[in-house]
Amino acid sequence: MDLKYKLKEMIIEEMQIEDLTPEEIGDDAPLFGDGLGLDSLDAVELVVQLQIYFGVEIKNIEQGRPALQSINTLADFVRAHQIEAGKV
Amino acid sequence: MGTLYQKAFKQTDDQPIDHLKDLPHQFPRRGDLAVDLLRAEVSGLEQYVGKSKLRRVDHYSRMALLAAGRALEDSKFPSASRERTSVIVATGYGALKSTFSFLDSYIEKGDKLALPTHFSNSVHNAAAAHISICYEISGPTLTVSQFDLSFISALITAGTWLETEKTDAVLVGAVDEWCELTGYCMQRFSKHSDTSPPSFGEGAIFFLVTREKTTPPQHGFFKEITMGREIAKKDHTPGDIIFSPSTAALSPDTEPCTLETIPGALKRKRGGSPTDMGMDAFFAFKSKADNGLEVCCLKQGEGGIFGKVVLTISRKM
Repeated sequence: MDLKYKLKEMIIEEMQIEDLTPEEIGDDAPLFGDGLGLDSLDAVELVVQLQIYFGVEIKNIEQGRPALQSINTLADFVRAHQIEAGKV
Repeated sequence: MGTLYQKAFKQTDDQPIDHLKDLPHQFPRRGDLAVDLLRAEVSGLEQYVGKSKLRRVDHYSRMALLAAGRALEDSKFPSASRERTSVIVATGYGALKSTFSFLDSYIEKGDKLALPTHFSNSVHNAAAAHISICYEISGPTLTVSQFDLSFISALITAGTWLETEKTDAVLVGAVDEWCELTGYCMQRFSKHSDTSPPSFGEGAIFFLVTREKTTPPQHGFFKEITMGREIAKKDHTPGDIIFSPSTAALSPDTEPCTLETIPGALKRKRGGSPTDMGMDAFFAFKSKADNGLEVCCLKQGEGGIFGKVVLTISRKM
């Protein structure tokens, strides 16, 4: 399955977003604020779930801020760290 | 007043549920013990709270929100008065499912991967906070947990806040949640379960209590709110009595109080929870009894202590 699709499924499932399907989440749509509407508690949950689902750890805000912008940035971050860890 | 119990009560009276068949197989069973189970239905909450605000709210807090919303609606309490309104939630167990889910994630995955959303819902004051935020009630909020005596304790605190004019109204309620682990423990460790099958309930009940003595109340008065060792056995207990036995089934030291010690008491047979005294009071207020009737609700706690509420039915005509 496509990584971006997996990320969307994870967000819908773990952030308990009932009204959206993966197809309805744009790859470039902002995850927080006016976009998907996630908030600061979701950010913490997202960091934990990324580690559970993909074994990827966001270690600090310098890594987290650019990675958590959209599905595209999140997928880039996951892919880069999986390559680095030799998982891909 | 607002409650979720009524539907569950009716459902179980019609069709008792043997919940054991739904328990995970690794839970040992004790014979063919039947367990009555009352579950609360929270559909309809979106009538009071927008869906987006409910996204992360767990079942326990949803029960509290729905009952509180119905109580506010029933009371026709003006929104402007909510600055001087407080919230007190009584609970014997708190948000069990979220608490156990959080603990499971902590044990299975370690402290770094313990789930934040489960943690936020497991905080004991979460339901009171959700009520305060969603209904814009800006007075103090408090959660009282004293197991079987939680509701009486919350009522005593509400009375103190009203008497000292800390607040003009208190939305005081009782909330308790069923979860599989509690049922298993009650069944597994209760020494009475062989002769008296455990009966479980969950739900929420809220009353909007004010100090007004001049205007006719919507349903009636709380005339006496006390807690002590001897109050249950006095002969002069007024009016009808509704008696709730202790739900301390996990405590092998607690002997169930027998009805012989409390003449004239009605014992509710199903749907027990630590805070079912709130439900008893609700049904008394909603009964078809005439205005002026006094009803005494007794709740047995641990160590021989009882909670006692005497209420007077006084409906607007």
